[in-house]
Amino acid sequence: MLGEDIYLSSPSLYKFKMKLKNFFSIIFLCFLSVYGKDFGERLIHIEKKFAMDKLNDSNYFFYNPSDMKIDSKGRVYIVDTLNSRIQIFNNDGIYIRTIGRFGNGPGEFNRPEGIFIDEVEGKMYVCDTRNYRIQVYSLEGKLISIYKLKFAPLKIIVRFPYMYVLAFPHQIMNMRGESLIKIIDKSGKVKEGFLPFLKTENMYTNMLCNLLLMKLDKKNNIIIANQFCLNRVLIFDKRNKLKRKFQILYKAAQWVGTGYDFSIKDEKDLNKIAFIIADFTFDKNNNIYFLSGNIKKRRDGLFEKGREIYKYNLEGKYLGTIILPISGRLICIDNKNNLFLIDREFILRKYKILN
Amino acid sequence: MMAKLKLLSLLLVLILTIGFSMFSVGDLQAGCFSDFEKCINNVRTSFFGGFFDFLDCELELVACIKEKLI
Repeated sequence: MLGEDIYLSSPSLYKFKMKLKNFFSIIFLCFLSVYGKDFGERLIHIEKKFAMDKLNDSNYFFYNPSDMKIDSKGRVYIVDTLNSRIQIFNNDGIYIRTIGRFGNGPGEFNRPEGIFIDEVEGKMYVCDTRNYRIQVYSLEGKLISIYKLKFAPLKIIVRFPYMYVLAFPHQIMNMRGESLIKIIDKSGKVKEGFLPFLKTENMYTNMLCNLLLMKLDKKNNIIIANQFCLNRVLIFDKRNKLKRKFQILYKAAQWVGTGYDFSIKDEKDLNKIAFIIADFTFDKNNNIYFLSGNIKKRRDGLFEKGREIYKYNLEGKYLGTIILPISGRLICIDNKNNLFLIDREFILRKYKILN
Repeated sequence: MMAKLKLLSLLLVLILTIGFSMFSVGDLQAGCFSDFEKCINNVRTSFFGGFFDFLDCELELVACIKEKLI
């Protein structure tokens, strides 16, 4: 099973393995510093197209948005979590429509967290997290069906004929030893699950280490990334088998701490989290872009986190870095290589990726 | 008389110091985790508290941590 090698509170043998790994990492870094001149940070430039920051229109006022998708026509779908709605815009940022409002009835949301656009069937799947259900809409916003669940859904992807739903890492799931990803058939029945809950030494670390992002790439692989704690990217093929597993190299040449050796017990411990993945997305060539960064400050005095996007291919090879002028929360790339960004102030921005 | 006044002022200073130190500790502890503890305690002590309310606390905690870290 996947994840059997990760048990954060295991004792001596595990520590020995980590020391061995650190030793080889240092040797590798020494090797890079001598021979790795071509392995440096490669900057990818962007050009600003628009920022929806001077509008007096409530349709552009997002409140803690947690997911963003773009369809093949370039329409942007934003899950506006704490406003309990889905906002749809065209490729120029012009408002098209709103779906949903706060509540627990049909067509209403309570803390929606994830969205998936199925263009083949013309459907939109929304994780209505706090209502424990998936709601399915037409792309025009008409409610088609509702799947009631026994867990809180965070993210969803659809790979015919199943829905793959990433669960919120609730403590009860940990106690029951449940998997984090549930495969659900069209009748709403959970068929099976994969990716076990990582067990750590306390509740807070449990929650942070099991907070994941899940997306479907252009070749129908499922990509999973840990947001905090573990610097870990997993790629599952069409049969749900682990195809590849890699870590992100910070600044193209430095290994990032995996987070294996820490535990979060209080507020101060949050500083131990050196590296985060806020979001990730794909371009038309199926390269992955991780909105990420370290907790250190850049030369301009501002924090790096959320301001750096690392480009990788599916083999886990680093391809370049985009430095954002402002810290971001969510990213998405359309078919024309335009980067859409929701920044820290929840403003929708668009950039052209130049190289 | 003067000795009593000195003693009183010393006591006042001591009380104020302890008071300020307690408040400052409170400020240090304020944040995502203390809010979460409060939320969990409220659920435990409330008559209608249950599974769904615990989830609310956890969702709030995650939102708070994301706000701080991202």
